[in-house]
Amino acid sequence: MGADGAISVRAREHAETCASCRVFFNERLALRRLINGLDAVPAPPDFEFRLRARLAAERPGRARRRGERFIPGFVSVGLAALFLLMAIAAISLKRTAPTEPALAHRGEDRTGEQAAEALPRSGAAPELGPTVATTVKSPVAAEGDSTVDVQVRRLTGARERASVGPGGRKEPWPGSAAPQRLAGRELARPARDAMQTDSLIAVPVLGDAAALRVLVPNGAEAAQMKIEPVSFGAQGPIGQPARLPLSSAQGIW
Amino acid sequence: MSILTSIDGISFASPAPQRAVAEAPTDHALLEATRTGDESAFAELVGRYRNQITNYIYRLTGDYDGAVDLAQETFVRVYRAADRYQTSYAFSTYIYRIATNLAISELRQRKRRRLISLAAFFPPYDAAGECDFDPADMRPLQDVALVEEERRQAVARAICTLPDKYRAPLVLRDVEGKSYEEIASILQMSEGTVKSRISRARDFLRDKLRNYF
Repeated sequence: MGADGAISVRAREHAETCASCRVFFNERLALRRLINGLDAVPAPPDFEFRLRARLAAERPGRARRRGERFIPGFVSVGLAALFLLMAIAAISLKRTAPTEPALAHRGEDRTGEQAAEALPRSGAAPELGPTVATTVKSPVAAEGDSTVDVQVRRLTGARERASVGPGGRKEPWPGSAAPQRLAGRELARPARDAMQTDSLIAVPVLGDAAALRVLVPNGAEAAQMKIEPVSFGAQGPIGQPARLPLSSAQGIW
Repeated sequence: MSILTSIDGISFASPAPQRAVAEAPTDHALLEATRTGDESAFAELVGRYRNQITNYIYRLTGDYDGAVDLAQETFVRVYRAADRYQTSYAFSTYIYRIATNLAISELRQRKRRRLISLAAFFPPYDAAGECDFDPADMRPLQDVALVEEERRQAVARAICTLPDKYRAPLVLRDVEGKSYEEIASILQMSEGTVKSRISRARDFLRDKLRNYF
């Protein structure tokens, strides 16, 4: 019998004359109808989002595999040793050899840090840092593709510095080039659906997630959410977070 | 655009050649693109197979949340092993093989941990869940939809109570509609063994679902 329940002509002819075989085939056909009545169970709407978060956690290892392929152990050790020797040599040369200003003004020593401070800041490359995204559960419900204000506070020592987000103060984080403007995005469900309480919101955050606190306003109150960092492994200039489509339900890749 | 004013304007000559419709890339092509770092290609693959794989694992394990988790793990493994993928057989065979191995491994772990309770097995159907096969009350119900739902639940429960070695071949054949050849390739066994196991599985189901015929 085929997957569609069809039986061959020969078998059908036989079943017409053989009672036991007829019963057997009828039972098989009835069973097939029962199994065909099962509904296909689809993946949940946030399947891709969760998969992406999971894959992002895998990505560093994968990137390493792709970038380095197979490097024998002794080659790696040799390269590391060579790099170390070069670094030591560079440091010792820097300490012993006088700089040109020092030659001009004998006895005056300038450290590397002072020299670095003398560099023009305008031409400096933007600081790179990992883009960290976190998911929080919304304590509020929102309609359609509206956004929920999410304040992300960075903890620096005992003080909380700089809240970000449309509803918060816009104070630059220490070390950041510009304040970050973040808004909660409803990414766990299609944007056309109303956001339900406890929906997952993906919040792109630049910085160390361990030192962050996420606040989601709930009317007059602000509920503090447990932060669950999900590194998406992207590297980007701090202060210039990637633009995310507002209505996308596909999350961040 | 010119306006057609009479039938004379209609050309009955050979129809104009249709614009070539861009064919959807094959699974192999998508995986090849994934290898080169094309994330959208992998997303396309996920879109093609996520429902099938989720449904398949769900029919094997009877646990929706666990099935979703295993389906995601299936895709993670595909992504991770994209560099090593060989195009000697169909991608669907490859991904179903991974999913099958994960589901069977999960079922074995459950047994090992003695966590095979019907409550854990059939949470979507019966929170209080009994693991034994429990035929429905055969008294007539007024609502046809309720009868149908009860019937579907009974079939799903009956499939989940099949021995592991019969369950995967039956689900692949009767639920997923795979050919015997492909099932043999997925499960890495001979076609004869596949047919034999499917036949045994149907015998099991026939006995358990006889009341619904």
